[in-house]
Amino acid sequence: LIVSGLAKHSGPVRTRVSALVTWEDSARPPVQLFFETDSEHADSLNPEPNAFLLAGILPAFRHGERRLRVDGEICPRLIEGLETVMRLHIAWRGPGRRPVEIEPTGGRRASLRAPARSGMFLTGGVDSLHTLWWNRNHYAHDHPAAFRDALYIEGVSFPEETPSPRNRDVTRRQIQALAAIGAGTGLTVITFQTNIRRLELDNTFVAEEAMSSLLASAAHAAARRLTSVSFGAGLDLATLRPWGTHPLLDLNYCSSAVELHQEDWTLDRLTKIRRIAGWKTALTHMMVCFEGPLENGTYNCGSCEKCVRTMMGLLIAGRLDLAGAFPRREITVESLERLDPGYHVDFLPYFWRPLIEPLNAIGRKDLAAAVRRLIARAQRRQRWLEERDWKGKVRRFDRAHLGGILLRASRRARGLSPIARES
Amino acid sequence: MKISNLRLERKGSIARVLARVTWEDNPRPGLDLFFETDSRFAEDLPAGGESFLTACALPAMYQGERRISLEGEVCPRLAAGVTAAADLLRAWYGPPRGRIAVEAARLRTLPPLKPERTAVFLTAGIDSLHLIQTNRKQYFPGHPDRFADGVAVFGHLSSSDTSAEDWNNRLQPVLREVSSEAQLEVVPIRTNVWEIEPDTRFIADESLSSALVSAAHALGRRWTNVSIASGRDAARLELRGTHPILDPLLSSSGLEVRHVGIRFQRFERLDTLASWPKAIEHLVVCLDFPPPPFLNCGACEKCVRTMTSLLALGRLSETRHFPFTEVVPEMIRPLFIGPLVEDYWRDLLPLLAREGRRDLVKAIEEGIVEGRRAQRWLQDAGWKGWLRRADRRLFRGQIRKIRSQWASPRSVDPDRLDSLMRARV
Repeated sequence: LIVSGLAKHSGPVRTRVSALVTWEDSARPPVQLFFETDSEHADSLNPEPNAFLLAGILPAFRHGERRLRVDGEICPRLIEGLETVMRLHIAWRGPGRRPVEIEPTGGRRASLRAPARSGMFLTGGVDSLHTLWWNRNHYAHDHPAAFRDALYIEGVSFPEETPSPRNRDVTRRQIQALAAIGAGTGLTVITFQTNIRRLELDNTFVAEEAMSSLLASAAHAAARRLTSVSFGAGLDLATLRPWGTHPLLDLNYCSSAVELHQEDWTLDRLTKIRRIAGWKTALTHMMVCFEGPLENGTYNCGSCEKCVRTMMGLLIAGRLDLAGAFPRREITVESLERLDPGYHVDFLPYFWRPLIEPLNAIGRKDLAAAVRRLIARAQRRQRWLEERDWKGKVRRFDRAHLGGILLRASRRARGLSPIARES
Repeated sequence: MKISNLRLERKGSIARVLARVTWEDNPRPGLDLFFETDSRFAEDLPAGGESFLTACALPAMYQGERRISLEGEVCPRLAAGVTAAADLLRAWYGPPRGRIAVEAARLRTLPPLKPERTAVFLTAGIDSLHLIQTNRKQYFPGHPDRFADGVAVFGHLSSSDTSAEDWNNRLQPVLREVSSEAQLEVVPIRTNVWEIEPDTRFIADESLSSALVSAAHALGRRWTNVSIASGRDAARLELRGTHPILDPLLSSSGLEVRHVGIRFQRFERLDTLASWPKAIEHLVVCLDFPPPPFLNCGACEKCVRTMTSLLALGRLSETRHFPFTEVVPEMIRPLFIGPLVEDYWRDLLPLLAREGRRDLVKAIEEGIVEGRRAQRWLQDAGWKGWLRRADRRLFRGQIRKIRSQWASPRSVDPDRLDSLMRARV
């Protein structure tokens, strides 16, 4: 992979830093990567080689590039960190990939730090709100560890060149929530637009291997403004597993210019919700929902798995009735029975099981029982997905010995569209 | 557990901070926990309770104390961090480790130190010296991440009895000589933190970094970050008392703790270190505190492995603190080559074979097989394990006792080793 032509273009309204990324050993098209922000924050954004290295390294590793050559100097601490990350992935996922050689054309040179200034990645969700809440409650505003800026990276979650209506709506709601949270906490909210996801479109790969490297890339693009950038952990001790954001990986994305901190990864979500449940800004502007487009100007749909789980936490904390960020203030057994277990069904039992005892404790045994049924449903689906149940055995037999005849017959019988033989 | 009566004392050329540690839920005697250093660093000794909290939190958790009550102020980041560290260890090792609450008289953040100053925990071992060597290559003089000080802690791995103290006194000039070449200032810190929980297994598996870092917090006004050299690598990470995700949890708002070096395998580190003659000359890896004249015993697993590695690199004869300049199979045979170190030994096989040392290759291969067998024995695996469990349950271990009277223990031929050591002296 070659990263070249690092440049900064400042216009009257927008400022953009970019680099051309060309594949060497993989037949993939070149991509002009960019980060962009409004002219008010033009000084925050610079064409840092460390940032583009971070954007490219794990896609290069995945697609078997032998080296990553980048124009400019790279911090040796970051190089050692990235070499560590690749070795960790090999240790976690087994052999089959080889570490990419990092070749900075300007050599290895320790980055210099700007004057100490801390920021955070803010999404408006429980994790980032808890990180902000803790910081505001423990650091005086003039302490260098007190957050001054909130970074929002538009485009890091969605790889499409032209975002879908749903994704546009999620972004709009997030920006709206962040503006209110920033105003309420004295944070400067800086939005970066980026297309770094164009290097690797596979959402599963990004979620499972690369997510925090992309966040680190954005943090390093702001290295002349921020020396420390934090983000709230999405997983906790019970759910920790080899994943695209993990405390063991994330500490390797630091350079001498920028420290990256994954915060609160030992705390479970319910603990975080209980802590921020007394904070009016959080109750009013919390934005956890990725469904959409939504109507009536609400932040959250109130019916998806993540919304209901968060609302359940607020119910346990005794604050759901004050949570203006959600369109409804009650949870029924029926809404739980209708609930789709969501994207990562394997995580669902870990997320929901800690809610059962607290629900019993507040006298909602009906909801506790419904949660148990939801977990059982998710586990059934997981067994189905992993083909561990009897249906799975039939499917495996069908694929291995019958060429998928049973699958095609079943789909025809259910009126579903036929699928290609090889799929 | 209560931590009270925090105070600073000066006695001649020594300055120390100390506090009274009292157990609340355990019938254990209290102790005066101290950290002491040369009086020239006295102004860096802080008034806060960070060092005591860091030293006590994990032992308190391990012994089932419900809280740590600290008379004095402490950093909220560290208070949250030690709780998180206890949660992590509970997740790794399970009960009876419980939740521990930190109750301090006051939470307050530490003011930022300017200019930044970076330190490394200094030993004369491979990991620490390799980290210093790498740091010197990566950072130019004046860079805030270039190590300025080497923190030499004593008292976290053993009691300060006469033999250990004597060994530590003999080690100091070695540390100074290596550090002088690396342009590091040595900051010695002596403590009795080991006495809080002297369980060797607990120290190795859970509290090693907290004991070390407590000493760094004791001079918390001197540094902005401190690095611990990793003993493991990315491919062979184990749950240990110093670990890349455990150690940073012991950071405060004033002192960042880093666990550095899992990028490199142990032999890779030694291979790189071989280009630093002073480091090879003064290598000290032994934790058995051997009597004079040598600082390495030359007989423990770590010593023999390091000597064998140096032999494979053709550098053993350049060392000064090992009693031998040669390795023979008899040194390897009595060692327990368990799962934690098997890979380290395996890395040496091709090099030794290339050097024509088939005798050592054979001894290592036999040691690995024996180590696996012993591991199965320790885990009571297989049908023999079933028999041992039955023996313990039904006959209170009598069959094992009878059998052990027949078996002859494996040992080193003392005459052979004595002659090798005499040659060195």
